[in-house]
Amino acid sequence: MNKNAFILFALGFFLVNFASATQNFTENSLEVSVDILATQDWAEIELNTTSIDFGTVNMTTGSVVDKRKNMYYEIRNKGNVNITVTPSLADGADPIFDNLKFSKSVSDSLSSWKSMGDYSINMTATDSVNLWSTWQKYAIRLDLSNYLGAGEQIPFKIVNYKKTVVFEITAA
Amino acid sequence: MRKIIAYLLISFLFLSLVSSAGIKISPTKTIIEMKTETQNCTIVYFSPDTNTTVESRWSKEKVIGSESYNLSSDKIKIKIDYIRLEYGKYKVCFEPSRAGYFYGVIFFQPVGSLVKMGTWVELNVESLTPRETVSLVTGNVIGKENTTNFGLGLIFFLLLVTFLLIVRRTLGRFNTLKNKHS
Repeated sequence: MNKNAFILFALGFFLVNFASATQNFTENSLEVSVDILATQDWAEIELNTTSIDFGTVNMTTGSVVDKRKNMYYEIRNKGNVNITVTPSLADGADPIFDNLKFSKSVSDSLSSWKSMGDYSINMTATDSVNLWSTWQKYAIRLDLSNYLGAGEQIPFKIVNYKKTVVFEITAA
Repeated sequence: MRKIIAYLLISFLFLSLVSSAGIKISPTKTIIEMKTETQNCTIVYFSPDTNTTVESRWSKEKVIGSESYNLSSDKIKIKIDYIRLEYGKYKVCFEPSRAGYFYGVIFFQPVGSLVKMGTWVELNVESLTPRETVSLVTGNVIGKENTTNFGLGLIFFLLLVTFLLIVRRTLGRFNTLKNKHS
């Protein structure tokens, strides 16, 4: 029984291969393809994060650390030039989101965190037609630990406060 | 009351980041040498070719970082036209009215996405006025200019000679009077 099964399997395998080989020889079209390198400098970028929710911040209780909310976003690039990515607020200055800080990792020291306007990301050229860089993870922090320092008060609860960050990309 | 004012709960601080799928631009830098009151254009390729807004920001100095480019084209007197030629192909034309070096960045931004891809622009603008005046004026005018200079020199020379003669004559009279008294 097993022997018969083996013979049937071998026969089937032979027929399938014979059929595909025949098909190769009888194909009447030829697919051609090519990659052509750019003659100009170019850059492409992609972000895989569409929104960041920092959750709830309670300013009256908790430690300084509780008033710092950390999140991550990811960027990747390709192209034959190094690029600089500069975040900014779409609508200009904002009393709350002016306290955004940027760094590579949430575990970075306090001095590593930079404010908007002082921060940019440098990304290296991939120098290839279709090769993306690996996703690069970057940290973003809403630091409200000093928000009430200048006598600022928020009399009412602020709910669902939204602003938009724009990333400006230029050649480095 | 103070407690109420001090009570602060910021809920759902929500930050929109950019949703983007492969936004690309080429070239990333353009240098143009041109003259004032003339138009010069460059081609920029940008993808995706959805509804796209284009803006330019300028600086009088070449500095690092797009955030330092905060002058409008109106401010530095450069007229800019953006013309979409075909799929993802844009013609950007500059017409400066002042001479000098101008450093700018042209940002392309698909509507709905908030990624701005920028291409650097350097304009080296020469004035039509000084050099072009020389080539436009006739030889007669150039001759006139030289004659004027020569005439001024001659007048100055004659005034100097007259002044020296007056001084010499005055000194002569002074010496004569001095001799009479003595």
